[in-house]
Amino acid sequence: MKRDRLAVFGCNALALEVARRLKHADHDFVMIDNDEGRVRDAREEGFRAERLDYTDDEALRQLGLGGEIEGVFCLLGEDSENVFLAITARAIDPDTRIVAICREPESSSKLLAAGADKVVDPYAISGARAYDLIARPDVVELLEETVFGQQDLNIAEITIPQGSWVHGVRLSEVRRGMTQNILLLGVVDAELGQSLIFSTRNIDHNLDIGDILVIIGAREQVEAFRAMIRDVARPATSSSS
Amino acid sequence: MNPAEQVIRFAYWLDGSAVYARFKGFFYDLLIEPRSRRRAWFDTGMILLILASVFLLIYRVHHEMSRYAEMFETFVLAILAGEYLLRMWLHCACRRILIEHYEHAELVGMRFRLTPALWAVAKGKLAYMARPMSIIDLLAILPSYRPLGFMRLFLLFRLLKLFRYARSLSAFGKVVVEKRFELTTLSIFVGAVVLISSIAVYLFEAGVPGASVVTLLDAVYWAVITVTTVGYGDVTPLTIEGRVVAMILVFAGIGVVSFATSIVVMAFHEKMRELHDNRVFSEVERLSGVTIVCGFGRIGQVVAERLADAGDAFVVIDKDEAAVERARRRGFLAVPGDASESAMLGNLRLGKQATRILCLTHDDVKNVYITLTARQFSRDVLIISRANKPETMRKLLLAGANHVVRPYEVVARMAAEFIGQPVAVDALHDVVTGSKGIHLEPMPVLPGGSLVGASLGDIDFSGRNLLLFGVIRSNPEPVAGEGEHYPMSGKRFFFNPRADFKLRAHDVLVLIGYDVSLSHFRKLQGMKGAAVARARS
Repeated sequence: MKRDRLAVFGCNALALEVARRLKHADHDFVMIDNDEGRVRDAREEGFRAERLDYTDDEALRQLGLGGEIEGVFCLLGEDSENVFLAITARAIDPDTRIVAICREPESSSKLLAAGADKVVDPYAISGARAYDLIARPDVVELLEETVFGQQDLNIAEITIPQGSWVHGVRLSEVRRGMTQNILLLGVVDAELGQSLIFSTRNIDHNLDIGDILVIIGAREQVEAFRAMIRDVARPATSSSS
Repeated sequence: MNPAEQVIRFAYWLDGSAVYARFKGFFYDLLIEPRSRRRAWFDTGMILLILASVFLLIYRVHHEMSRYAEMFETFVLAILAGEYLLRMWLHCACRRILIEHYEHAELVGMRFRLTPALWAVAKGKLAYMARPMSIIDLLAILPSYRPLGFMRLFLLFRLLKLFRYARSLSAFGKVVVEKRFELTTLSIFVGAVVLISSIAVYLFEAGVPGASVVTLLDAVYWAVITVTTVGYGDVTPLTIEGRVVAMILVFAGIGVVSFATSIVVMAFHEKMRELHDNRVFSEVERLSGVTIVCGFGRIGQVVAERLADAGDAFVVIDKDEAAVERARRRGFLAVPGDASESAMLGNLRLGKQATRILCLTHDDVKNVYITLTARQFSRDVLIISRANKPETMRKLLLAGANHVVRPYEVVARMAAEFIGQPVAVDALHDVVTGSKGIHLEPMPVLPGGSLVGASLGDIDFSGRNLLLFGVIRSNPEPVAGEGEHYPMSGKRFFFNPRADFKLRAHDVLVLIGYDVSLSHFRKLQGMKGAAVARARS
């Protein structure tokens, strides 16, 4: 998996949880906080942590923002701090991915306006989850044990790269040649807009470079599919199922 | 068999008789049980009856009474007398007293004597009759003796009976009883002040010609009217000394009145809150499948909104009054209180009408405590708890929670995944939450339905705009040719099965699709045989 260089701002309990997840996924990241004590806690857990003032643009640049850093997590204690950080980060680097959490529902729109790519509301999500556990426990259980769990069933996105044989080819044709056991959830087709179009709509997309396929499957199958897509040559057509 | 033994035998028989218990239970529910619906109806009926009979009394002052009015009066009398006797019967269980006496005698080794036992029963009934409410009831029945004309006044006692039926009135009565210490102190003080000032004014005024105070009664009347700041002005002092007393009395009066008001207001406020809580409890009792939401913080609010949207019954409990107020303003049932108290959980009918409880407070310690209390209370309820620290999760599960929600973990997962695969994460999130109209829905294969025995290849999912995520099979015996699967607790999940996968009854199809497509497919399942074949082609 590609190793992003990520910056996690905040060394509070939530940030530590995020850090554990990132470590589990083999991401390369550094944690930042203004408070020495929290930085120490993060280091004790084994994460790389630095004491930095997030209002100091120069320090941020030195850290790698605008350069190597490709993703920023705004997980500071106050919504106002996260907004400030998001604006700063976006100003320094227009391309970096910014994920922020909001503690009040009103801050969500402010964070998006400040430049965040995704705003996660922990309470809304937890509430939704608690509700789902009551209303649809079977679905929650299913997802927990398969896609979200430790088992080998994952969701993945594949951007069609340069030189792929898929460029200019219809989706139906790709399906015909497909041998891997994966489920195609949807396609982001640049010709039809930026949002994901679910495959249940049965649109036979004309795939181009830069389009994104979202699939679900076991890791091996996903990798095999990814390799197939990346290939320059069309795969030898096996007997159609 | 001597009479004592006969009586005891009868007492035991009554005790064991289910019919008697049911009978008594019915009347108890009707007359006494504060939360029963039947009682609410009975109370309303009685209020109307009393008001009607009092209205007749008023009417009678200037008009002649018709025969129907007389009959109505007799009817009311019969009801009131019946009620009085019923209440006396319900007041204490005399059979219990007799049995207790008998068993006590047996234990100690003395001979059981009937007379003291009967006397104990009689004492119980007399105690009932001595209660103020019972005296009022009795006085309310008396007046119908025609000869005793002035006894008509006692009909007004019937109005006092209203205190029994209107809960708010009886609340006021209880307030007075609860605050009797303060009110007694107050009365003694007022009494002393009135006594002193009335004697003083009498001494000063009575001899003076043209004074309005002539007798001691006038002086007392004036003192009371003045100290309560009413001041009719019909009796006023003329002499300077009298007026001085008046001025002092007025100031004393203001103090007294405000003191009394504050006591009553405070007590009434507390009583009102209790009444409000009781109302919520009775409301909960009337519903079914209730969810108890402990903690009305952010997460609690989100869950409450969802439950309200889905039309599910729920009640909110929070220690913080402001939070409860917020919930009430949104129209939710809410009580202030501590969810870790068993009494509160009992009032909220956990284990009976309430089958689910969510512990969503900020404090992990509290959540564990509530979970433990709830699980001890009832083995079957669904308990979902919130864990703020990762270590608490195991403790909650040990304490008896069915599921644990960890807000930070949920966020971390989403955030961490997003940074690598933003499109995929959003897609999955949309499907799981159903926010874009596309849902993940489990659809069971009904036994005897059209899908039993069908191969997946025969069902045109894509033609119906559906995506088959997989099939969950709970059947414990694996069938040949099933293919590989993912184990779930007690079940097997077949991801994206092959075309030759055969469906069996009680399998669950996990489908992804838009609402319309899903409901259409669901309807299709309801059809059988030929109709389905026609629809499929």
